[in-house]
Amino acid sequence: MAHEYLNDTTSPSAAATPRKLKVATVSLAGCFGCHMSFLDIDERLLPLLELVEFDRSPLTDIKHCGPCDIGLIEGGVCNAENVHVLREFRANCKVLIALGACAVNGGLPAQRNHLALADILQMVYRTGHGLAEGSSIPDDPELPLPLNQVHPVHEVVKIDYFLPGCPPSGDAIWAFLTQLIEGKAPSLGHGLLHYD
Amino acid sequence: MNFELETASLPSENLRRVAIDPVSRVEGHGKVTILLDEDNKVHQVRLHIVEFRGFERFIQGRPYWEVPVMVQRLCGICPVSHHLAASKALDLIVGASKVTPTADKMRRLMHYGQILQSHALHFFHLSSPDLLFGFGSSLGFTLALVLFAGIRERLDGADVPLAFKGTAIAMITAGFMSLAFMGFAGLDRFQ
Repeated sequence: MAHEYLNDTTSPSAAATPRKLKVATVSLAGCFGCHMSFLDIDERLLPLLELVEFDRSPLTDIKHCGPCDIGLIEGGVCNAENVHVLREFRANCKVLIALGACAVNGGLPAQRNHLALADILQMVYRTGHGLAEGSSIPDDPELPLPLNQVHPVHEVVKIDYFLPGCPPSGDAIWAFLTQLIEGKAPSLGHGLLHYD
Repeated sequence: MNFELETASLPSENLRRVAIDPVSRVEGHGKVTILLDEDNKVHQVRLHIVEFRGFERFIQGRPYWEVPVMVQRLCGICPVSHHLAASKALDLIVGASKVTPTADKMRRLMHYGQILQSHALHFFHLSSPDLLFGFGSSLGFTLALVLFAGIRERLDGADVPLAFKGTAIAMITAGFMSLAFMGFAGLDRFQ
């Protein structure tokens, strides 16, 4: 399984001291709630930082994901930039984890999937209440194009593990990560595994 | 497999585009683009909010009691504020012109809880990386923090007029302290 080569002791570089694992995290079409839940591990962040170092993450200011061991993806895929970033993560991370309801199945943003994107944009920017006069649908080339539907991340790239919950609790994320770092297949029992 | 994302065309060939993408440690996926010329003079700075979700539309037609819980997912950093805003909107819809004192107190308690959590989050997780990575500033910040904690302790025992008690006197003290700290700027022996 994918996690077995996380602590690769056969390579000469890993002989003396165990190498710090690299972890990258990103929020795609999410609300940062899962990242906040991740920070809810509170003081356990310090022992975690002895085992891992962070690559691209909202906590660092690294803008592109380099070669990493673990990638945590929050949020589904709602626009072209999300696809771009997600593929970059898959190309660089040995183990990719869908973190939270949006990444696992699209979550709340996927509520727009049963509506036509054009109609939503029209309503929000042209015909809705409280709009400024002459407001129009944003079309700056710098803005990534929205996809017709919001997709869970596994529809775009291969995902190794799924951690459900909206959001998964800090305890669940901690248990998941520590098991993974120890080289076990993470398994969360009753109480930590939930879908709401 | 991958593709290039489209960016705005440059208005002139002499300009250079610098992008801060994504903006870190905020909810609301954003990027900043800056156009510079050869002398690094800034010609244009723009903040782009790159994500469209359509909450305005897809909450329509849902059972109304679902909406406060749905809009929490606008922002995982300040879900309570969105929850309360939706609750207030629902007050209007169901014709509750005045909420009960208990409801009012519960809402206030929730909001104070959010403020407390938000400040702790901001200090320990969101701004501490900036403070820690700049050694000089973190040293100064620690000094200010320790001094201020000492002063706050002394203030507790001081006979402060009622009107200035609490936050007011703390702010006044902070003002004096900042004046004192400005004195460091004059220490050119260390420069």
